[in-house]
Amino acid sequence: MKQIIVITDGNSNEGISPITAAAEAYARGVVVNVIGVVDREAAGMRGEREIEAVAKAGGGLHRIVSPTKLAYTMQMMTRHTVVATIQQVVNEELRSIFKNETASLETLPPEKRAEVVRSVDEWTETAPLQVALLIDASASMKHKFDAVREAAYDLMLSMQARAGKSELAVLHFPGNNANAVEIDVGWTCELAKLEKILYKLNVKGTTPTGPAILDALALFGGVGRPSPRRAADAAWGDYVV
Amino acid sequence: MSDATSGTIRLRAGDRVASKWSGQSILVERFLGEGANGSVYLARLPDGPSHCALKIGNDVYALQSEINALKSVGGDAPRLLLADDGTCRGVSFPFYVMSFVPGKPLGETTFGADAGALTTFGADLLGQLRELHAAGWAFGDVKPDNVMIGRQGEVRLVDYGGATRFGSSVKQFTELYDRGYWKLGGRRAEAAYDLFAFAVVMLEAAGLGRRVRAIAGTSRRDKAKELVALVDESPLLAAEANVLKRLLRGECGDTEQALGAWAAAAAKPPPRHAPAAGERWPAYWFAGAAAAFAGAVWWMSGNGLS
Repeated sequence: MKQIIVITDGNSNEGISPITAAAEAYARGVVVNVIGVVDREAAGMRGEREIEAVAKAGGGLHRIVSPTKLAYTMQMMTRHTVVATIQQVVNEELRSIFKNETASLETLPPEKRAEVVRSVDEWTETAPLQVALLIDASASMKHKFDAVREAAYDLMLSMQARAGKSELAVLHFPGNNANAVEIDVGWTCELAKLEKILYKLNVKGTTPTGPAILDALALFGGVGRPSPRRAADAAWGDYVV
Repeated sequence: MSDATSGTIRLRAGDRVASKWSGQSILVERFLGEGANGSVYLARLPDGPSHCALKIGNDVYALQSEINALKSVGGDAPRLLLADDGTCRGVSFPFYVMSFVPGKPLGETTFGADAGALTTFGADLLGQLRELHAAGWAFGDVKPDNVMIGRQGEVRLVDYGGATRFGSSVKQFTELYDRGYWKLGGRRAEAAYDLFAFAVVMLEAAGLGRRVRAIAGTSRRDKAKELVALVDESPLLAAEANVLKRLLRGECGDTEQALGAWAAAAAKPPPRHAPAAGERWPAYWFAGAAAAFAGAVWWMSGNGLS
């Protein structure tokens, strides 16, 4: 169970399209969820279409919320993604067992359904889980960092309670020098480590969401360590939002 | 996560829900309330002698998970009468039927100046938790909305959607009653998790709800300390103050022990009004209940997300 949760308040403006990056992540088995944080919940969001498109390409969910709802939203998304992933597998199994393309949890009789859900619950509780929080650290996000820290702490608290191994990593973008991201905390299951996130900041005025997603993806292994952005990526700024 | 024909439907009095698997027709009488994973109605089964509660869900998975918990916990939990899929006015949905627990939610009702009644209420609520805990389950979402008070003052927990086996992560909780939110412990299901929430409920029942929310709303680091100190502010809780503080700090993880300490503390109360034996609970307890709180946090639910 691998997820990236992007927390942002606006449009990306540098490097590879975040939609392309999210599709790449999804293809490698990492679901990308996106949370847009706005000052007031009712207020619309400029980057809303991008947020929606990135989540869609990443096989994940998107939500626009106020900072006060951040912790709640992050938990819901994480849980929902785990459950959805497991359910997808379960439904595929059911289709093959019943040799019926429309078989799903909904079509099972109540007793069978009870059994299947019991297994799904068990699996949800015990499956290894890795969540990378990818935080937009542009200037306009600065006053929301307290809420982001609280939410990260809260997510870790719930992940810690699971029976299965649960790890969280926190990254922000843009990173220092030519890096798209800065790793605040690598994979950890310790709450204490989350107190030091979002301090070493480098406000450059760019929002390289796409390259940051790729670098976060690298954290999950298999594609190497996060590397400095390639010049070709940096020049690749004319994607469609 | 639901199929194309399902959706949220608000049932009306007189509606009939046709069940798919058992072929029954359930008569809807009135809306009772919104639960964690769906809405609850007062209803009648065709062969049932009296009322039952019908809960319809919008997520088949979340509702089934709740049904499974209800089947397993036993004790004083509402009895599961039927689990099925239903159709009403062209909309289909998963549902289950359980025994009806009459009464009013504790809500924000306070116990006025009646310390004795508050003590009795606390002991009854602890008694409910003791049974559940003895069976190896945590209730999870202990809060005033989920505590029913019957006509005779009997206390019952309702909405088992958050019930979690000891050792698993608590799926569903509400910030104010969640020890993790107060940084006073983790979210693994155990007796102490519910006992913390119980203590917060007692603070509210003693009329300190507004203070609890005020402390929760600040961004101060020592919220937890302030919450614990709040116990001393109610003369109604004077006798049980030490027990409550221990429960808030997580120093007691045994519900039997907590109940014993509660009873012992109540047995030697400081001078104050003691209720006459058999005294009925005053009517004002039931007034003004059911103010909706901050919505429950669904750590396990598909609700509300597309």
